Order: sequence, then structure tokens, then C-alpha cells
Amino acid sequence: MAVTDQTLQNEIQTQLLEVPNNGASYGSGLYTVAEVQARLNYNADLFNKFANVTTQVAIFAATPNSKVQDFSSVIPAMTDIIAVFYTSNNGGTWYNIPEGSSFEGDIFITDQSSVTLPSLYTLDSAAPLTLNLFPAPTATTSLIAIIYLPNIGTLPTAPNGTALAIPDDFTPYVKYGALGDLFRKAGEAYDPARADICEQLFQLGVETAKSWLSSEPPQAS
Amino acid sequence: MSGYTVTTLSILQTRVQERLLPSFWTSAEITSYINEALRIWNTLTGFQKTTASFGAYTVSPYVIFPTSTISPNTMFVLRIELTNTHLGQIRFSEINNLDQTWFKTIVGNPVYFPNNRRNFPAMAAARNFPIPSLSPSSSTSDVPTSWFHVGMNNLIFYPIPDGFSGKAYVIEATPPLINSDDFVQLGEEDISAIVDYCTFIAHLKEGGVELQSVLVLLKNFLEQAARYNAKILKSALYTRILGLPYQEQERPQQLEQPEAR
Repeated sequence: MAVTDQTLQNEIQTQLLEVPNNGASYGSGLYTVAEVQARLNYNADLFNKFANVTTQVAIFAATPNSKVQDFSSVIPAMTDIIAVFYTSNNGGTWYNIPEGSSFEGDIFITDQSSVTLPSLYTLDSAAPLTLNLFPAPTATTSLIAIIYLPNIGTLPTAPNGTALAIPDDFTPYVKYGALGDLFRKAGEAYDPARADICEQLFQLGVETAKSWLSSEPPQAS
Repeated sequence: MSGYTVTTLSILQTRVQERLLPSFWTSAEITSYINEALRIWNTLTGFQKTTASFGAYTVSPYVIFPTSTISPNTMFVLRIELTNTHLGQIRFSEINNLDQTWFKTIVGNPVYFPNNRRNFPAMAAARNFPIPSLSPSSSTSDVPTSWFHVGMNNLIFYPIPDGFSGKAYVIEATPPLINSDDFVQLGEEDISAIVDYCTFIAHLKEGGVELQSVLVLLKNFLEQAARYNAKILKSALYTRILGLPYQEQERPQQLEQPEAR
């Protein structure tokens, strides 16, 4: 994670025919520094949402005898949940809890009294930053581990050397996602042909990352 | 393939500059195009392979093993071995296939699908089968047998070990070429593809007809990466014959089915 916002802004500036100065200013007046940073942040989150390259884990104590498990205090912001693990003995044994739906829980689990090991988790009936366990767990020593996609678009308004939290070699794709947005800006900066090409490069990155994580090397075409 | 040669930044700069008007692209720009081309090449081909040993690492009670523990520059892990054996790489959705599972109990069992209709009460009862554990409590010190990626920056081992060391075969991030004598080992056929990509990206700055006329260079670059990968795909045949990775279970995981944009 060594590619910084200043490096990316510098490269964007050269593509936009601006004077490269690590994103300190855009002399043409067509763009603002904060705007370009915002496009980088947006596309970094979008890239991670689709490609799932950067994950984090958060572990918190489960609320016993309650389906509703609130994790807002340990994960204030996230893009998506990848997996949920559960332990009833304080980390001695972890179980992968499959995702399901409330409908599935109601149909399949006729007795929904609290149990040692919940059968599934659901989001469809859960408030933001909470999940529901079906059935509720009983143990007071239970922990929940959530593997999730964090918000990685956290670059500051002004570039200061902050590194983008995705593998370095995938950062060009995020840059092209941002450039694609900038080329679509209405007005003098509008350039749909270049925007399309940048968008395709972004898509190439998403597909490439997905191919690695799905255990298939990139396909010959 | 021709023999591998050591290609310096200076050589690559010269090759790219030969195709471009010097007054419109600076040397610094061309260097950034070259480093970007090498990064993209690495994401397409996994070119930067290396091995790294990692020391005893306590995972428990945490389920996640950061790949940065192996090496700070790790992009993707290809293989993990212990002293005289290796760990099987599985897919995320396969962890529930490692033990007797609810899914295995249900699928193809006429008790649960009489006359192709679901028997809800029977399935509800079967739902009470325990979900397989990642770390049997009686054996937290077990040597792990399997691993899988969760994102590119994290791994999960099965069973969860309480500490172990091993050797990993990884793809690292591409080190940027900075000085003129910094080098990368590329064959001539790959150098041409790298130069093609640099030329294409340089023309992105121009736009218009100039850009449209060099789209074929991007195609050349991608096709060369595909040819490079064709060698990897050949070995993938043996993986399929051996039945590895295992078949996906009924409930595919989010990680393996990201949405399209």
C-alpha cells in the first residue's frame, strides 16, 4: 500500500493537461482538488465493492438471547459484509454462520428459542449496522467476527501523501475510474470517448481482481 | 519464447520515446507510464512471483491472517507449505464442505425432496445439524490443512492454528523503476507489449483520432498477457482433473460473486 493520493493526482493531472504538482491545484479551473480526491475515494470504494480486494475483521461480544446484534460500535462504516463467524466459548471454536433470510429462518426453524449455535444470519430485517441471528444465541461468552469490506475511500480533501488501501498494482484501475468520471463532467471538460476508455480500464481491473479471488487465472480471450 | 533478458528503465524509456513526440511527453511522464504498465502487467499475469518465509504467528482467537505478515508487499498468495508438506488451497464457499454439513445432508436426499417438492418439516429438522467449525475446540494447536483468501489482504486457515510458521509462494506488488539502471526481467515479446501499453496511455492524454488509432496497442498488450497466462491455464487442467478446488456448495459466498458495475 505505497501508492499515495499525491502520486495518483499527479498522474491524473498529466492526463488532464494540467501542470502536475501532486494535486495541489488545477490551473485550468475545470476541476478542483477536492473534486478529484472525491472521485478517487468514490472509485476506490466502488472498486472494492465489486472486486473485494481489501477486507477487515471486527470482533465484538454478542448480545445473549437476542436476535438483533448491533455492531455499529466496532464498524462505524462499511461497504458490505463478506462473512460472519460465531463462537460461543470466547474464541475457542469459531463457526461460519451462513447468510439467510428472515423468511428462510421462519420456514426452516420452527422453534426459535435461543440456542448455543445460531443457524444463519440475516440482513433483510435488520437495521443498518446490525444483523439478526436465527435463532438467538444463549452464551454470555459468545463473540461475533464480521469480515467486511471497509470504506477505503478515506483520502483527505487535500492530497497529503495518504496511501490508497488497495494493493498497489490495482491503483491504476481506480485512477482510471476517477478519470472516467472527470471526463464525463458537463461543460468544457466533457469527453465521452476518453471517458469510455477509462471506464473500460476500470472494468478490466475489476474483472482481473475477481479472477484472482475466484481461483481462476485471467482467461485468454 | 525467447530467452529472458535484463531490461533497464533506460531501455524501456528509449523504446517508448521512439514512438512519441518528445515535446508533448516529459521523461517523468514516460517513466510513470512504464511503471503503470508493469503494474497492470502484474495484475494480469502475476509476473512478480517470489517466496517468503513467515515465522510463528498466533492467530487464535482471531480468524484472520493478514498477508502482510508474510511480506509487506504481498499482493496475492499462490501456495503455502510447511516443512515437508503443503496446505490445500480451497475456495471460501468450500469451508462447509470440509466436514459433514447440512448441505451434504440435504442435497440429493429423497427424504427432503420427495417428488421434487421440498419437505419443509424434514429440512427444518435437518437445519439443526451443527455447522462445521473452523477450529475444533479440542485441537486449537492443530496444524492447518487448508487455507483460502478473503480479499487479497487476508487469509483464513482451517483449522485455526494457535501458532505456526511456513513458507509462502506469493505474487508481490511491482517495485517501481526509479533509476535508469533499475531493471525488470522481461523477454522481448513482453517488452513490446509493455511499450504498446505505454504508447496507448500516452495517447490517452491527446484523445481524439490519435487515441482511437492506438486502441489496437491496448489489444496487443492484453493479448500478450493472455498468451502468458495460457501457460498457467495448461497446468490448471491437472487441477480440474484432480477435482480441486472442490465444487461450490449451494450457497455461494459474496466474495465469489461480486456484482457487475
